[in-house]
Amino acid sequence: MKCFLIDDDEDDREIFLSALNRVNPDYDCLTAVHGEDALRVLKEQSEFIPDFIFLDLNMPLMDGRACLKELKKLPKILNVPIVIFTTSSYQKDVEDTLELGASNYFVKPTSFNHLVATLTSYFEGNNSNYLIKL
Amino acid sequence: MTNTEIIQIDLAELLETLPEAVYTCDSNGKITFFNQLAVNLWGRSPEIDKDLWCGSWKMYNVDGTVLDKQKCPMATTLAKGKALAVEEIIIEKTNGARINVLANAKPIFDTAGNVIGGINTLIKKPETQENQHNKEKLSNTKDHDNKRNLKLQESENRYHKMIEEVEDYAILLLDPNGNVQNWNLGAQKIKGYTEKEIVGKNFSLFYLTEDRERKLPQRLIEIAAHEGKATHEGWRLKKNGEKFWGFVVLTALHDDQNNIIGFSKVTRDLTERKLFEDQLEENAKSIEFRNKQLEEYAHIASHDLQEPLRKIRIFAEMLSHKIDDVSALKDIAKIESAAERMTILIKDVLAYSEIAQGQQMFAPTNLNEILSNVQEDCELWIQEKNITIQHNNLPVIHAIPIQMHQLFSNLFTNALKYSYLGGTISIFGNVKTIPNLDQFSDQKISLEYVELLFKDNGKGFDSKYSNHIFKLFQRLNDSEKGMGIGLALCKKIIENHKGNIAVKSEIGMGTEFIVHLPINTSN
Repeated sequence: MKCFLIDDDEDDREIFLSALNRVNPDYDCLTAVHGEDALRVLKEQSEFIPDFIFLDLNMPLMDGRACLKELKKLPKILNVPIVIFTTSSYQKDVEDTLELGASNYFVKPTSFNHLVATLTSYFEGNNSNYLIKL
Repeated sequence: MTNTEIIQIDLAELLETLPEAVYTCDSNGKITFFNQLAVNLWGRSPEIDKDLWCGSWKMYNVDGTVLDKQKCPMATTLAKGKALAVEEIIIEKTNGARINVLANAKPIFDTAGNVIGGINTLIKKPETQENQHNKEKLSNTKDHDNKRNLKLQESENRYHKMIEEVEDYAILLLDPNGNVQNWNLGAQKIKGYTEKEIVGKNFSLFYLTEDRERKLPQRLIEIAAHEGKATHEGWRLKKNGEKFWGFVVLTALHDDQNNIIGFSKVTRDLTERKLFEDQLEENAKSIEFRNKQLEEYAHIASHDLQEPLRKIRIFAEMLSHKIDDVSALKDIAKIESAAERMTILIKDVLAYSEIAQGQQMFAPTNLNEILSNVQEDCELWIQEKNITIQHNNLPVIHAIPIQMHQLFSNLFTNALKYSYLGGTISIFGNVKTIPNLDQFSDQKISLEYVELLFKDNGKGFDSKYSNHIFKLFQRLNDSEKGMGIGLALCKKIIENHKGNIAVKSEIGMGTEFIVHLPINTSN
């Protein structure tokens, strides 16, 4: 299973990768630091098709919304679920991103264990809750 | 003695006895005889055979024109040889007094029918006496009027003085067109013009250009004319161009036939008060603006502060997974605990800053539901401490649901925190009516309140701190679980709902919070 994490925060990237490792050490994850970087990675590594994309909202150069729009234009990404992974709990962000084609919306948790539990549950197929506040 | 002479002498005696002034003349007009009453009337004795026609100095017609002697009744009757109709003339005595008389002039004929002389009787007008009376009356009335006028003059002078010397009010008289007729000291002081400079000019001079353009002075005069009075507050101009805030009353003045004869204008300089009020308003606005800014700041700050806190908590957790050392794990646990408290504190600060902004979020709120939600949240804790919960049926009130939740949550967790093991927490609510709170309307309004009693039988505190505990960041003990803002939050929420909170406590006996909330908050 290959993930793609797009987040400008170094710490959040580290936390996510650690949590993912806890869920399943065999899971891989590529990272990008913002929207432009993400598109560049996907272009340069033409064979790379992630199983899941985790997308932060507040990023420099190209933020989550703009990146989401661009991702949806890429043919190879068409069927890849894009999960918004952000600190924002604003209802507007939830509505806008879902409208733009995001399949899920997670608020970054304050507990590591919770993050592990959420990811575990998500990969096992529990995709019903689109907004999880932890 | 001839027969004529005898007759004449008898005639004279006879005429002397007549009660009226009478005299005779010969055919040439020379006076031949006159009686004493004639002398009294004329004020002189004429010379026999010399004075012509009449013994009085001067004579006048009733219209006041001079009556020449040649035209007087005696002269006329002699000239015409006929008796005249009674004629009223005015005799002027030698002392200047004028007397109205009725002259009865007739010629005297001899047996042959020739005019040999004339006889004139001058009868004082019977009304003359009445006139005399009236004249006296008139002169008395004149005296009386003069005295009255004097009094009026004095009174007018006093009023004049009163108005003249008043300094704090400009009191003017305007003619019906608004031209200034008189001026007082106050007017000079307030508006700057001297009497000489302003009398005759129109009062619209005192108004700002834009007010003159929109015809404010004319409108005020119209209102005063119509309704008797016009009042106005606004900027006015002094002679030197400076503005002052005037409070003006224009009053229409009427004569006895109710016609407008002018206006009185009283102006008070309220510039100081106006400036003061303006300053107050500005201050109030400025304070409001700064309050809003502070609330926004608190909002932003608390959001931003939560970010690093999240990292602290997660990395502390991650760290704890990598360490086996017990003492190190203890330290990490302390970090996590402190970070958790900080998160709650920041959330509370955020909630506190948001309370006043929730005006539009009032809705019917079932307090039973709120209570059961809070109980659910605290389920574990209640079980751990083996606490008994008692309550009755709470009403539905008009409130902001999320704030009611915060309120109940804070009070409940407080009670839990300070309860002994096996203690009891009770929440009882009673609806009460307070009648007739509105003193300003005639309606009897009754305000319905719910009185909520949050009671525990736990540690309690010294009641001298009763007011203290509602202050921000106050804590009465060093308990690790003390939050510091919870009760201040409760107070603010309750105030936002126009309610009231008080507390009773005794060390070792427990604490009771008494909360009053209106059933319906009417704004």
